[in-house]
Amino acid sequence: MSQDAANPQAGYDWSDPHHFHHGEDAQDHSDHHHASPWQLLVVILFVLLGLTALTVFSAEAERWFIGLGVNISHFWNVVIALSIALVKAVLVCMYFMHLKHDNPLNTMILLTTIFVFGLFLLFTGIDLYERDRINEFKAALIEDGGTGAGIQKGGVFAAGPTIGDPITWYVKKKKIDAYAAQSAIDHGHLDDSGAPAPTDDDLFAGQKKFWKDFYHHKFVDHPEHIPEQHPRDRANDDPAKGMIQREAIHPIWLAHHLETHGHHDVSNASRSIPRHGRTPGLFGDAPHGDHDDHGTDSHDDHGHDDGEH
Amino acid sequence: MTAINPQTPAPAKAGPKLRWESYVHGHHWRNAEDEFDAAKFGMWLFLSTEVLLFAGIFVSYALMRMMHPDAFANGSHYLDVRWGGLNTVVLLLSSWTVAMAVRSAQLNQQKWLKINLIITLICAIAFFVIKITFEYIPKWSQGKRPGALFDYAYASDPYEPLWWSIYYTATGIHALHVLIGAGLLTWCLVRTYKGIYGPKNYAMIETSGLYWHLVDLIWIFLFPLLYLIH
Repeated sequence: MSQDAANPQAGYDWSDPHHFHHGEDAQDHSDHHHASPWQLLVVILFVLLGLTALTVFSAEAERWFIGLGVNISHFWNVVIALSIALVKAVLVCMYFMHLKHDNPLNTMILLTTIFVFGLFLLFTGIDLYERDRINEFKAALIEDGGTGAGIQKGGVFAAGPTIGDPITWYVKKKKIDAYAAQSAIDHGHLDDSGAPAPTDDDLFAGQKKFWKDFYHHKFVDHPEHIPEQHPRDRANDDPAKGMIQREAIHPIWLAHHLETHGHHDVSNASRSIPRHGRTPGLFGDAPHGDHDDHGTDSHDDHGHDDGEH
Repeated sequence: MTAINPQTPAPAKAGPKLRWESYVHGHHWRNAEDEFDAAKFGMWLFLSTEVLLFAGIFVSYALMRMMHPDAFANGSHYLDVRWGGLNTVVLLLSSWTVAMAVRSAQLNQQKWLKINLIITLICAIAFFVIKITFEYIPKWSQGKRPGALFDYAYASDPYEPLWWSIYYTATGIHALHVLIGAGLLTWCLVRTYKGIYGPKNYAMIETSGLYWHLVDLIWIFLFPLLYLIH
């Protein structure tokens, strides 16, 4: 790599025609390989953990503000969470991935990639925005939540005549039918072959049981929405018998007859309701002391309100 | 080494030389510097394709969410933010230990290199155990499954199966990357015990670390998108 001053052509380095590396010591690593001070890495770690706590806290704080009668709009929920995530990502890239002291080419690769990601988002967003035009003449083919065609195919998807219904509704009907069949067996409503033959009463019992379950699940997932209970009714609860609180309060299983189908508290564009699912029993804060089966098994075979516990 | 000048490598110990000390860069490279930079450059190119892989998932999340906000709000509420938060802490901690492992290799701190890699692997296992035991298995057994596999009778929005499709795809592919990253770092750890990595040769630690940081980066965005935003 050395240059001959008297005859520059003689010292021409074909592997470095522009002398980018002229004068470098090939064995010297110390200048280029920057070892981050451990103090800096520790500080970055704690900043990242603090930002994680902050983003969780900001999501939880919304619930407190709702308690004060102030609703933070959905927009700010998204902006705050993603801004904090962006700051965390920049810190990880700069200090943990060494981009701050690295060849700028690597940073350019990352920025280019993010730019391409923006293009993906932009063009699919334009497509979504223009969907109204095709939906006009495709509307007859569109079914909420899918057509259920997939579950017609047999095998694990083997199913009854559900085509045209959303999958969620097919699953609901399956559960209601199972409850009705159980009611028929309990009441001796069997056909000649001994199979359950649900009567109208059984079907009603199945529906009633299902919707009770339904609202139980809503409140297990969102325990803060359990209506306040009068102390007199609370005194009637007997966990040993499996009596649960909602039995003593309003007939909330009727809520699906209401105009809003019982869902007054779904987040929307101008009002966001934090209702994070909780694992009952985790850290000793089970929302219902008499229900510890949530999160451990499917609920296919039994109800929650018949006092099995 | 001293705390005053962390750039100074630890003095070589007496005794048998470690393998990194006799490391010579490939003959087709001008010098070790170029070899190292090229390796890292190649890793960044690969990471860009990884980012684009997850970009598809993030774009589908954004669009489906715009179309069905209620389903995504409900879906987010089925998740327990505490498990997600714990996994975030686990990944951030492991990201830090990987950064410390790279530093240890640069400064020839063989003991700390091993310790940092081992802590990282423990964090990887913890992430996996939390994800599967407390999130995937309960959700799946309740019927909260993607697409046509959906079997949860208490959904309030017809598009909740779509939410679960996005959830399982995003976290599943991310978990796969955790697995691959843990495999790479296990490989690094095994070779560290052979004395292969040191100030002259740590490109493998550096690039595996970059991969692990990417896994962390993806989770930094998945956590608020899946658990916090509603």
